[in-house]
Amino acid sequence: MNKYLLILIFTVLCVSGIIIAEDFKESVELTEGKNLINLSQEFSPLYVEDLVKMYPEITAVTYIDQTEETFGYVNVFGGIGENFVIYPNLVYEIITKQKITLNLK
Amino acid sequence: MKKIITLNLFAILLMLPMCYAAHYIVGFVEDAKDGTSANDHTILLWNPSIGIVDNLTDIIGVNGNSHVNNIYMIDCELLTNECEIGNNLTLKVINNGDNYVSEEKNVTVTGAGYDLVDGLTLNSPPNVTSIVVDDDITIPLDEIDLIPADTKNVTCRAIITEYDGENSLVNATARFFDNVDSDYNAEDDNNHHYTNNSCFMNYSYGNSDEVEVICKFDVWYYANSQNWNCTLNVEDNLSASSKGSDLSFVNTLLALGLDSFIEFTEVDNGNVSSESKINVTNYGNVKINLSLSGYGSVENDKNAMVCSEGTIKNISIEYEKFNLTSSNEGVIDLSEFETKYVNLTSSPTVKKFNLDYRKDDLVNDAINLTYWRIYVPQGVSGNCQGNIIFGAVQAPGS
Repeated sequence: MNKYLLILIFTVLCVSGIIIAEDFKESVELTEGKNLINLSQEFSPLYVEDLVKMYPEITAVTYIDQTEETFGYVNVFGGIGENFVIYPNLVYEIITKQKITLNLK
Repeated sequence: MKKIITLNLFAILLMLPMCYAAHYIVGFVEDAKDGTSANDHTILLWNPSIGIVDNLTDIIGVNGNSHVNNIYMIDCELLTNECEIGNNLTLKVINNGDNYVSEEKNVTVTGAGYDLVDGLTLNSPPNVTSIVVDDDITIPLDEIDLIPADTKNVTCRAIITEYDGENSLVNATARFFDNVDSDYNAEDDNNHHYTNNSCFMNYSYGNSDEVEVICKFDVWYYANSQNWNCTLNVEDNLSASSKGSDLSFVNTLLALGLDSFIEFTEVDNGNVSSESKINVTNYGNVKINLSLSGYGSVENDKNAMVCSEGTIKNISIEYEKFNLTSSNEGVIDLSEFETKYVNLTSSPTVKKFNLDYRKDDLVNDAINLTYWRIYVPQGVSGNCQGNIIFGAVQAPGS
């Protein structure tokens, strides 16, 4: 029981923290290397392939769904992996090779 | 609200690295040189310093993680012992059952979003394009004639196509076996199974992708008369192997051998000689009966022997007798001579002997004794000599 409670608290902290942290921003600044982002409601969903085409500095994007299944997209060989949709209010790991600013509104 | 943000951000800083972590190992696998697609083959990734038991796999191509032809994509953070920067990982295409594999490639994990592995090429297993097994007499084809009391050289010759270059073919072995009473995996036995683990590989044959493989077998005279199978196994430097086989019929061999002359010691006129014994050996590969006949100086002369002195210079054929099953030692009279022994004849007569062919590789067990006596009539003297013709006839049921 305690285990599930901890998981629940952990998930709430992760998700709500990011949502609040990124709330109300019109752009997201990504540093070189790993970044965890959660896009605000104002952002329109888009395919990861399109995101990478817009920002070729992105090398990889990863999303882990509720069943802990991992979806990854890597910017190599013209783009490989799952072309999943990036929705607002979900957490994604984006790895970039240099600092960039996402303007997705 | 600010306090909540601060609290949450703190928790995130502590916990987010645990929520997310992915590091992709990606690479390209070229199709095999024989044209086989790399797609849908399985690639294996592991950390050699941990061991291959902790591994990850991906399907190459559109049905795998990459969704792109010939590409694979593995998140090495999913290893039980997650990968870390600086780890050296190893990858290779494993055998899905179609014999297609690849060499191994190493990659070092970096801090980038992914690491690209040097290109792999799907290995083509060697292909046995033709194979023929026969003896040195090729007409008629696919028939092997054994040699009495000796071995026959049988050659299994194959042409191998090795698309990765002839030098990648590293080993060739062959097994030659009775296709009815034995099989590829049976143990060696001169009656039905032979193995050659060091076949000759002729790299100068054909073009740079072709190798001639020659496997020789010394096949004993008592090898079963049956359809025999030569199965050749060739292996390349990545342990990918292929087999090819051909059949040839080992013909029946009727042959026998005698270990000595039949020598009767001095016999007084009007008496029967002591029993003389002679071994008959089956030097063929079927059960045999005996065809027996005799003559003095020329065939069909009705004599068993011709003699150097005396008023009568020959011994009639019916005075020489034999027993093919049992010995009767000691002095016997004419009555016993008549009942216990069978007359030799001038024309060949087939007698049941049922001498099976050799089955024991260490000791020749295809030997039976025969027993002989001769009656010397009055008027004969001096040295007498004659001839007995032993012939082998295939016994029923062999």
